[in-house]
Amino acid sequence: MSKFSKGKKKKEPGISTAALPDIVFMLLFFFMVTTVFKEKETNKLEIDKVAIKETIDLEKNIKASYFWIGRVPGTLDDFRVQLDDDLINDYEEIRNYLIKLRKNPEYSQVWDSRFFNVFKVDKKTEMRIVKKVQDELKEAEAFKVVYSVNKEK
Amino acid sequence: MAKREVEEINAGSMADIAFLLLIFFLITTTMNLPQVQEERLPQKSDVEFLLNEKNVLQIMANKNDKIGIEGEFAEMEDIKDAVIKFYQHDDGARNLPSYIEVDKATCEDTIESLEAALAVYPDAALFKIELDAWTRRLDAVNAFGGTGFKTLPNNATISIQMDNSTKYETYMKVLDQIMLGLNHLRDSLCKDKFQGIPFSKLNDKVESDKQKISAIRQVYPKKIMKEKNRSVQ
Repeated sequence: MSKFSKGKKKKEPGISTAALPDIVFMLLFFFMVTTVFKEKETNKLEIDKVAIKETIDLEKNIKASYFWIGRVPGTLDDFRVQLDDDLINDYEEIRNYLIKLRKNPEYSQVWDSRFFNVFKVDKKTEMRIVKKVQDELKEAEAFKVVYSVNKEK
Repeated sequence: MAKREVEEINAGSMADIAFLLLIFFLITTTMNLPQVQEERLPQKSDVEFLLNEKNVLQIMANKNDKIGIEGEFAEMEDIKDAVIKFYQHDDGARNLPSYIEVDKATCEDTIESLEAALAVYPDAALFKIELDAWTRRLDAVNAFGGTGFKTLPNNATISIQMDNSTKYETYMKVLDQIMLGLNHLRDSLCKDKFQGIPFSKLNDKVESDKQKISAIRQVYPKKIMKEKNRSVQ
């Protein structure tokens, strides 16, 4: 019966959890470093997006330049164009900006595949402005355009 | 009776379980992707295409955002039906494009003669475009299991004309209506050919689905031409 004796039982040593914080921080840093926020919402214009029925998901892992067209908030001035971070005064700036962007190998490698021009346009904008911006895109040979919209329920 | 000592439960593996879960959710979570409408701008070219009148579906919007289809006033909702009719109608219908019949034999014959022509004139750009188009059509026939289909000729397009003062909202709604019509056709074709799977459920990351998508796009291609903005009456 000695096999089942409840005599002297060895006490198990507790598992040390001292390494736990190290693991947590390792994970935290990993995700902090790898996370990329693509959408820079440094928007200086007021935009009321159009809602439509047939939409598609914007692809993941893309390179993009963002075009905002709308009014400066609180005013009833003309519609303005914002390219990435800055307001445009002259449409030619768009061409030069894109040509400069294309010199960057990060962009030139994906120019025809994963580079998009994302448009966020106020619904009241007149087509002449959109057209002028797109004429500049053609000059810079950036042909892929997506229009950011809301999904109509 | 001897009193038993209550043993403590070892919580050392708890952390492992928690992190396993954490990593699982981190990997599987996808953010709500931004919703967009796509368009490809035309290449800058000096070549004016000669278009056959009946091969063009003309959609216009004037400065008051009123819609016109083929020169007549219409409602926004009419565009969807006009697009469906443009792609799918009885053969020989008036003012609508005539179809080209695509089946395995035609594809193979055409590809063969185009290759022969290209061997003689290696720089003929038009032959290359045609060869490319017919190769993709042959792929589509194979994806449908060898059955042929009819599709619109290469130069059939939907033309959109906007006035300079047309609102952006109108333009987006017109594009939306066109896509509604097109996706309706693609959806019913997809259900018909591929065991009732709707077109929107096909995933372009999966190789077999990718073939199905491109096959269906061969039958109902998205061909939109944006004309120069001008004043539209």
